[in-house]
Amino acid sequence: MNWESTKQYAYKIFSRLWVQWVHEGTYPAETSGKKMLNTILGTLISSHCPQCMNLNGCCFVKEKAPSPPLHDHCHCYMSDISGINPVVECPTEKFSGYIFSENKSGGKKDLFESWGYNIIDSTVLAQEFTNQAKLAYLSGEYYLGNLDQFGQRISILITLPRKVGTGTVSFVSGWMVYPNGKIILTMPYGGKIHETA
Amino acid sequence: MKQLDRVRLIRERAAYTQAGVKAGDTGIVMGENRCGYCLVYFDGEIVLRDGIYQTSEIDLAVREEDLALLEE
Repeated sequence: MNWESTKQYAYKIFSRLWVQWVHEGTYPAETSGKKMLNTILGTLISSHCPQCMNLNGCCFVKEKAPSPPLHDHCHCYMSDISGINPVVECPTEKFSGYIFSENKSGGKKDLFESWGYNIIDSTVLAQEFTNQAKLAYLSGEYYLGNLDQFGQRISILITLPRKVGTGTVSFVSGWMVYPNGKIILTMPYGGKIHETA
Repeated sequence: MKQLDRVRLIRERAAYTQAGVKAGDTGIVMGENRCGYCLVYFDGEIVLRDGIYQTSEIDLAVREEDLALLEE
């Protein structure tokens, strides 16, 4: 990253206003297990919807956040927070078992190989995705994606240097938002940039 | 269903239709089974738009009983 990019990221990081989704009466679900519990509770107790409960505690920049109310009688609200300390999880299996799988990735294997990456780069790619996603989320450089029983997904642009030829390639990756500044990779390459960004 | 399983949608529901998915569409499970729902990315095409590689895949929470496992 050059000096100009560094300055731009620093400016964004310090100028963003952050909000946290609050669903009163339930605790944020920091783990997949707690998210599952919230989904079950949301299904059993009609006054709580899974979307709201899974959003509880999730952090967004103010201008790129889902907007309550999500439904009739929704009692969720956004609370201003000073910032986040992002935690990013990027499973290596999403590369070794999907992107570089002959029969699962739907042409993405060929695309990554045309850029010079193959299955032995899975760990390196996971680390690079982690680094870029952490910086992108922290600086608010993400796009809001779909929201359903699984919670809110966001898209983040990843840029990699070509190992074959020169220059870089940029593509969209998909992430699930968890409470307190945590995001987990769902799709290494897939989806489109939503207009809500 | 587990992560990275290839699946086919075998039932139509309003939520699926609204998202642009119909019975017979295939995809891959990219999220853990949660209360009977799977996070499925339905197959799409690779698109290069404004210098950014994107896809027309649709990510959607789908009831597990509405999916059939595809043999690999």
